[in-house]
Amino acid sequence: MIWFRTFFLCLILSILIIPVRAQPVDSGAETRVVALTRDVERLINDIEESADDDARLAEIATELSALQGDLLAAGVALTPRLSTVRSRLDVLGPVPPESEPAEPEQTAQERGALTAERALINDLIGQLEAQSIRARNGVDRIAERRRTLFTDTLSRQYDISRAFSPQLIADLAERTQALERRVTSWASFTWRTKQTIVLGSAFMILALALAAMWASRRTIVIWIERAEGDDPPTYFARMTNAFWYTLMPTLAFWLFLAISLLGLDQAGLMRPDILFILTRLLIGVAAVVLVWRLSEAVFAPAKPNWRLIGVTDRAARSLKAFFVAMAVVTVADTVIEQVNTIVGASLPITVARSLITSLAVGALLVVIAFLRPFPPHVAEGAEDVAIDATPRPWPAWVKWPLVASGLLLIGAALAGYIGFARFAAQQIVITGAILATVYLGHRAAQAIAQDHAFGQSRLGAALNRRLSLSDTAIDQLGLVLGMALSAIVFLVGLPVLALQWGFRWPEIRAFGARFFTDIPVGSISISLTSIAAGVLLFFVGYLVTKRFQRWLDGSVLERSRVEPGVRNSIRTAIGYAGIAIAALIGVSAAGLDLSQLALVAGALSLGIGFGLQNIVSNFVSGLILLAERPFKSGDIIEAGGYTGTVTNISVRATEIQLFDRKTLILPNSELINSAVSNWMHRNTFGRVTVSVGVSYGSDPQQVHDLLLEIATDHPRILGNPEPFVSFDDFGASSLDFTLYGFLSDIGYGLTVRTELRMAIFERFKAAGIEIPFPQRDVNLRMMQPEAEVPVELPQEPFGEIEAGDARRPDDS
Amino acid sequence: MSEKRHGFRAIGILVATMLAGSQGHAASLTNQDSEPRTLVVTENGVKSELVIGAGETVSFCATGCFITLPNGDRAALAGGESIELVGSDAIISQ
Repeated sequence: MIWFRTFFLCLILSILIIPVRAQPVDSGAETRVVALTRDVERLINDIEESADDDARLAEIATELSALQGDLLAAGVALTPRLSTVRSRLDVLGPVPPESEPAEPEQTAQERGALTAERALINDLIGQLEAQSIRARNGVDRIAERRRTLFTDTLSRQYDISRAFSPQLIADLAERTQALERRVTSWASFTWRTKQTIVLGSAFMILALALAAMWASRRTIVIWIERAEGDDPPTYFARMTNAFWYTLMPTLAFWLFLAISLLGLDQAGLMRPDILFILTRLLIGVAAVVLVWRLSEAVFAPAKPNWRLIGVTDRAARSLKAFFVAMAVVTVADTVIEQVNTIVGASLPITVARSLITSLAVGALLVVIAFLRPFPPHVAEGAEDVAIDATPRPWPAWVKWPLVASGLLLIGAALAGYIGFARFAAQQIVITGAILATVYLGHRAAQAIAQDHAFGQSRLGAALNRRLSLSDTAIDQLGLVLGMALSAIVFLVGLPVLALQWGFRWPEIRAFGARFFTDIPVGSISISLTSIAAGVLLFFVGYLVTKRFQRWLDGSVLERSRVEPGVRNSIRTAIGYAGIAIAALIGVSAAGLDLSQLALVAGALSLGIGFGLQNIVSNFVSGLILLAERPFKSGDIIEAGGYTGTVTNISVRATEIQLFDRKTLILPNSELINSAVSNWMHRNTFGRVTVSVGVSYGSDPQQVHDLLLEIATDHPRILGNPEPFVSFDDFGASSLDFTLYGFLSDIGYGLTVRTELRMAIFERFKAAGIEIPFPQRDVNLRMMQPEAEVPVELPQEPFGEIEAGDARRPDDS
Repeated sequence: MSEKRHGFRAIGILVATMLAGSQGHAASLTNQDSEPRTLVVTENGVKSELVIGAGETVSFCATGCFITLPNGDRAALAGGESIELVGSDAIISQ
């Protein structure tokens, strides 16, 4: 036991001691700073060497940006030690002046060591900072250099006629030979040395391909099947189908390519140059496959029911073909360019290649612009559509920009501005592809958010089954999903577009970070994440409150037999308090300063006091009602000239259900300021009275006894206090009695009174007691007994309702 | 009231940092002093001076930065720290 204590004491002591005697900054930190400095140095020197190589410059810029992060991280790692050293120095205090007694040797030594360490760390962080500035300057220089290179490329004019000279043919032949030599030398070498591996790999790839095809037949093809039916599927179904139709086969194909390539490389069959060429080629093939699947999914030339865009069959075929052609041209251009870096660049080939690409893309754009894709308008109600009606063209805002960009490409290429034409062609194709994808994503999001669309999807149906959500909930979930999908599409699409147009990733990230955390508006700044956090916190608080309310009400208050009115009050009060707290937390998390809010509230409270007097008065009245509880939910009260059952007491108004099932919403101030009679205050005990008159011929004592008997026989009338009967009056034509009975629940008053009257009527009749009613003799004196008064009854009991004249009999 | 407010703000900041996750959130700098102070801030390789008035709080350095404190000490911030200037000294807390 004592050992344990000693051990723990030592442990605690060592923990306490460690911060003070923490490891001094190690030499590792110094070497790291030196290494980082060397890296920056190397990259900066590299800029000068590869001043004409745009791709390398871009790489250097990326590396320098990454180094920025490393430099900062190294600094961040050093910073805490500096704080420790400083606080320890503060504890030691300054060097005592000569006049005071000398401090112990150890203290002086420690101070010296700490001061030296502080200087060292400051120096290291200073070096890191300097390197960070250098790296930044390097990035700026690269940006400047690349801009110059870029403008040079765009503005340089080539002599096209010279490109198409015998030189081109010679270059082409030579490059093809070079490529062939590389491939054959690799192939023959590999075949000779690794024959079994080659055969094995070929077999493996074949097997993989067969397996992939078999697996996709079994799963993917069924999943994305586009069944032909008479009715076109819903837009949402088409949209989701198009998504999977594009994605799954493409991904499967990509996976197959990647695995094959990786396998070949792992088997040692690849040489670096061959691997490079093959990789570029396969990436190109993968891109073309993606475009092909996507255009098939969108245009579906053979299956008009599944088409996403309402174009004619012919236009769908052409559009699909043109888009795939455009992708093939662009990809081929890029692949040839990259293969050229292996076999050696040649100006004529570059010019010719760029010229062909630009002309092809330009021509395709113009052709697409002059297509007439949309089916002709069908006149409303027209039965037969004229076969030769011409389809409608693109809208002008699509057609003419397409024509203009196509002509621009062709013109620029023919004028010799090959660099510009090729750049523009690539930008148009890739930007167009990105925009089309974003647009499709947006349409898909809209389709999900449509009424009842989500409920019909597989996911929606599965959710419906598993969680047994209501249709409305599923629908709302669809709306939320749609909005989220839209946001994701734009959040992904816009940065990709920006990257394509030459923005750099760190810039985009910094912009994004600033956009989400810090939007300056005047002197204050708004942070979207904080606002989102605030809203989220509020909802979390709200849910927690609801949950707590339910738990307290159901588990605690109900079990402890608290009466329902009190329970209701407590529940309501907790609900409002919880929401208020959640709102406060949310507001402060959203970054709003509560003290400023208080200031504003103070300034406006006078105005609010006048303007919202009634509401505030109702609110306070509501709080008083909850605390004082003159009535509770379920009580029958009379207030404001109405009688009814209280259904809900909220903070501004009280809901009262009148007996005709109308709900009366009575402001609370009415209930506080004017008289309220509560039939069930504290108890539901109440009295019912029934008055009855009997004829003068009856025996009053018999009547009295009979009435009492009736009251005693009624199961709801209490025996104590006992019912009694009063003989009220000698009326004009009757002896008037009143029966009084007490009920434990006055809520049954109406029923009991009715039942009593029924019983009285029956018993009196049986006993032969007459209930008189005033009788009146009416004497009619006929002035003209012979005159006939025509009386015609209408056919219908109420006559005809529409035509008023028809009810009146014809006098003539 | 003041304590309550601080409590709320603490919860708010806690959750906001939690939500912000590893993404560098801006660092906040508070000058507890009675006179304005000047810091040298190098963010992403760009050096600038930051003057902060007495009692002010600013948020800066969204992506991490190097700073030089009024007492000549240097520090590197990853973003998300809070710094309090007291006298010529600075307290940096995560």
